[in-house]
Amino acid sequence: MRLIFKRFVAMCTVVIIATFLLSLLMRLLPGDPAAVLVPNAPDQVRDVIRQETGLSKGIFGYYWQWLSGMLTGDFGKYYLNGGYRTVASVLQRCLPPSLYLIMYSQIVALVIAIPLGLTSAYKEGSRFDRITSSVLFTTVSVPAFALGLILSLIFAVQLGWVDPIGYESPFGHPWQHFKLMILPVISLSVGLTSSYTRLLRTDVIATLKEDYVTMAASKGISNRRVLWKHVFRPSSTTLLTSAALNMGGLIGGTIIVETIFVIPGIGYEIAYSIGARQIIAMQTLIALVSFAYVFFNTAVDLLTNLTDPRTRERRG
Amino acid sequence: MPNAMNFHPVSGVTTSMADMVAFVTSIQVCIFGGNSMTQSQITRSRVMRRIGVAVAATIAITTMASTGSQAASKPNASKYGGEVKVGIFDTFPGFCVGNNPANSSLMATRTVYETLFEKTRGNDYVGLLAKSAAASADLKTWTVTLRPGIKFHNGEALDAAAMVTNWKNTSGTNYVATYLTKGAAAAGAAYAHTLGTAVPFQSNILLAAVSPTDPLAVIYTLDRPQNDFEGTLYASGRGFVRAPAQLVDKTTCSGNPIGTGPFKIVSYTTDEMIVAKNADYWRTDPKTGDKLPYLDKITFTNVKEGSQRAAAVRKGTVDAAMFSGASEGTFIQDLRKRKSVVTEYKSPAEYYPSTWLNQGKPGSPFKNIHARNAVLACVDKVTWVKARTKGEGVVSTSLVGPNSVMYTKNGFQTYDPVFAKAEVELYKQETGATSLTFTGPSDVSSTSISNAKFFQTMMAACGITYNFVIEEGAVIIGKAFNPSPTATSYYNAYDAISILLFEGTDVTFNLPFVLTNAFAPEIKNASGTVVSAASKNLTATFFRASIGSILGLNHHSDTNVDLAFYAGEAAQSAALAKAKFQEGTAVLQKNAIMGATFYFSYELFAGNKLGGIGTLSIEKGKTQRLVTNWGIDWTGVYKK
Amino acid sequence: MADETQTMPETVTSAKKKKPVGFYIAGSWIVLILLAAVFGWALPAPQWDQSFYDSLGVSPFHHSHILGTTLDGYDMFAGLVNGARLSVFVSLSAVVVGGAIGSVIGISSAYFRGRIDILVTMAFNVMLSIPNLVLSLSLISVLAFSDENHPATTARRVGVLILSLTIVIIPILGRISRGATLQWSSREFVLASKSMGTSNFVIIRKHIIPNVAPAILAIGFLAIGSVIIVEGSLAVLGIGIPGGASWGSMLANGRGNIAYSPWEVYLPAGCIALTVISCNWFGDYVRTTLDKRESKI
Repeated sequence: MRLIFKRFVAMCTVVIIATFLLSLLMRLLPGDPAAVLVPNAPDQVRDVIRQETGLSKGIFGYYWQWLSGMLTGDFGKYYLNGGYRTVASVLQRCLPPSLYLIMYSQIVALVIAIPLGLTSAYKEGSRFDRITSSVLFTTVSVPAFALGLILSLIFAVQLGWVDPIGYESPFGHPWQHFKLMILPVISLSVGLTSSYTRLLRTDVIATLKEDYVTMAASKGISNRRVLWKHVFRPSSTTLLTSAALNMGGLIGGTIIVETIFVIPGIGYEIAYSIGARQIIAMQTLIALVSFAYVFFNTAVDLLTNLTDPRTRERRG
Repeated sequence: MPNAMNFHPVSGVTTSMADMVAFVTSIQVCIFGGNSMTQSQITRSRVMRRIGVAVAATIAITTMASTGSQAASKPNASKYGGEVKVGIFDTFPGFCVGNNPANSSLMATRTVYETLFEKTRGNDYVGLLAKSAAASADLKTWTVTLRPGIKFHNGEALDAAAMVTNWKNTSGTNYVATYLTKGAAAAGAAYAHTLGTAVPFQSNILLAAVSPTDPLAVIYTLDRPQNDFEGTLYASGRGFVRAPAQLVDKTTCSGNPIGTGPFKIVSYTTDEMIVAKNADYWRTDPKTGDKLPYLDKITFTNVKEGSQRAAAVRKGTVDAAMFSGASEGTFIQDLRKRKSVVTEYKSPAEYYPSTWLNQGKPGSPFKNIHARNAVLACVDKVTWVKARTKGEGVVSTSLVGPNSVMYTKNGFQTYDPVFAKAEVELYKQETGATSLTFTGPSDVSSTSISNAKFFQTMMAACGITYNFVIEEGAVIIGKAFNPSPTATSYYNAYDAISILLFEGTDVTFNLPFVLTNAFAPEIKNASGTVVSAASKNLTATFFRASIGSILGLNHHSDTNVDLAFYAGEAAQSAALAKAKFQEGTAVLQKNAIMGATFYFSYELFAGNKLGGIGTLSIEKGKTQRLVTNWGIDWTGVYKK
Repeated sequence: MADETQTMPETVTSAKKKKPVGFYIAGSWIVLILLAAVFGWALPAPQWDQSFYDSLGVSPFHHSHILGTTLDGYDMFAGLVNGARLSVFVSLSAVVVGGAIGSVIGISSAYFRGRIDILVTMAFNVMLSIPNLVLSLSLISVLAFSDENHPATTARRVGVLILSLTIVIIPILGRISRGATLQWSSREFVLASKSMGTSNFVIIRKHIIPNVAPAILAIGFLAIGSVIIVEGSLAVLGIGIPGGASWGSMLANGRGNIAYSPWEVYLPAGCIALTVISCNWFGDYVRTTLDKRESKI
């Protein structure tokens, strides 16, 4: 319990410092932030905006107003658009595509990585292992945007199998939804797959050398059973940890993929708010991504601490 | 630009206030060289009606041969409705008077709204919601009579009272009233919903009143004589007539478009607008008597990248897609070859991006004529057209194209690097400057940045230093047309900017941008005598003070320009008007107040399954222009 | 540890057998890129920022444009060579400077522990709590802010890009060096010198740095790869260096023309991918060598 509390406090501290620095950064923009938000408004309007956003209140007052807004569900507005769009309404629209993208990428990566990692660990040193290792090594290095563009060139432009860009809701047009998601998900999950496979392989190789595995094997339990029950289960903790940790990073990584494939997700909105200098929206969106990232980190850390005796011992 | 430049409407311009500058709103900025422009959503009005018909008649149909053949094929049972998808290159900023959709999103918005007048292929005006218009002898009072029996989507009737509500909201009258009674802050808060695209043009109107005898007659009283007022009301397709119910509720005005058009809104986001058939639409097909429109549903989707839009229309993912000849030549030329799949519809080359040299900004070199001469003479127009428009543009021989009533080669600066270098030296001698250096904007798109880089290289060849800042399109518009009353305000923030503002065959839209003060209360001639006085109406005075000086991006002080153009608008004969307009253009060109590099067309490519494009006439012999900067009219379109 | 696997999944590698083949391939690519970066100006290629408007979008193996031209008429080969210079410059400066700063902070905070260490750890955690692409995006959008009166020159943009990437690198390498220092500073020989009264500075210089350096070097190679990717991503997002001056920038410019002149995409993308793969390969190589050495101890 104390541990949970400690971690929670640490998490909050990190989030508060990070968001404060973020809001400080926004205030560093040269010139009048209200003029940056609405370059072509008369002063009266800018005054209204300064009041509304707390920009009139100095660094701490501004941060406090933003933070209390966040806590009460007021995420700010896009002012370039006359304040018609609230960040909350944009989030409502842009979160689902990003979440689908991240979820599919994780699923695809895990589904491929698990059998691949187990097999290559089991056959460590074999030709299969060596080939997968070097292929994975190469693919983990290929940037998502380069992969995305090249996939788009081959499958969308030249072969015309899928549309090069766009997004459809899975409820309205499920088939089109999956078709449009294929390329972005591949672009995002190739790197993930490689890193999961390599992680799992290393871990499984270590586990295979543990005494209890040797013993289980010597008891005549079938290889497959040993592999799944005695080897994969403990190793899966590492894998899931890494998968959870990747959630936050993936939100960041989707920015580029969403831009290339024109998916109206959170990454796309971040890029847009930066381009349009909508600092309030930018601050809110980036803060949310950072929060998600820290949250997953902490949660995973806690879970592994509580469940995996090995970690507990090591930490002790 | 579409691609690139794409003005995020959203972004910007929609800003609330932004719209003071209303029309500004959506201008297509083409960043240097004009290649990529943003769309103008401006209110353009140009009309040369009474006057310029003769000139105009020759122009019109550079469009497609295919149109003719389609017009010939009688609509028959084989045409039906169904759903259509259209790829555009602009976003949707909303639908209140303060939201200005850029070109291709204007096409979508115009399926919901209609204007009082439409421009025909002969470049004259024909009443759409209006039945007729008549001017007084002094051209200062215009009476517009509405067609009877037209209803808005919510059932409200279109009558003179509705038009007065529209006028009050679009002209800024409400804003001024709030300003005077409740103070600046309240006015500021109300600003977004009050000002419209038509402001700069309609603030020329002093009074609009309902005739006591005829509920369908609206009387407009103007500040100064204008022989082409229908153009002001048409506002380049932006003079929407909105239902009073939409305008009255300021909180929902932007998201709840209610018009008289053939389609009703279903939903919209920044990048998509869906409309469905208005079953009670007032028009019928004059040839067959069929009820209009044919299509059941249209989805307009913003596809920024030209290549992706081209791929989509080629593959049939969308049924039609719009392109800009300024920057999407590659895609246009590729699609043009695919006649078995798509049909090309092309506007006349009547879009004229200009290079605006700012004389009003402190620190700008362009107060000096040698600096202006040097920059304009250094632009290699032929190379620009080849390299940047892929040959889709036409090399400029005047600030506007030959179809415009303003066209004259007189004094137009041609490419002459030797002269340019000499002028650089003269500039240095006269001012003591060590170099000729100036700054302009580029938007964030790669097309626009490439243009800026190309322009930079070109300038460097003449010994001129050009720096560019990269900013979001909407930000650029905000800074160029800066209405913010702060210390640095009221002037274009850039030393030079390339933007598409000039277009078409007449001058109504172009005018406010070239005058010394777009709404000068009075104009004095060289000897100081007032040659043109205006009334002291409060709204007009207010807007003169606040936006009048913003429109003229050159901020020059040559009143000969004003005199010539106002004389043209007040002229009672087409010939005189034309002579005066050309005189104005010549002054701009001779004094190197501004320059131009090329002009271009907009294009629509439609899958061959779409019929009825450009065939529906409003009245006998009066067919709307086929493709404009805002695309085509979807009312008579059907699937074959 | 979990975090490290997250940011640098490559560290988990395996590759027990060194492949000299890989060494030579990766090595020669890196040497090639370095040569292009340093001596590229001497190559008989057309000027990289000059548009050949009579040969727009010619495909590779054209007689006067060996790798073709873009649809805007820029020579691909000249662009790639020029891009190599910028990409190498940006990534090397960011990693060297950021790595140096990060290592100094990491090593000293781990060595001296105490409150400073808590602060430093917290600072690193805060910085790492923002995904690095997002962090560099926000840094650049603020630092590269320019207006019409102060236009950002390309040089300034490059400077800001390097600065932002440096800031991104600091916590990554800082945390690695902190971790490694923690490990080494509790080793017997360090404790022994401490008890003999050797000054901290000497201990750090003689015992810590030599042992920690390989780990930093390994991650440094991986960091170069990451920086090149981030630079490319920023360019694709339209932030970063404009006008095709870097590989990422070329990719960003050519992205829209993919259906018409695909070489505008696959050539720079290939250069980026090959360089990243080579850097990662070296990082991995250094790491495994290091592991071996350690296991011998």
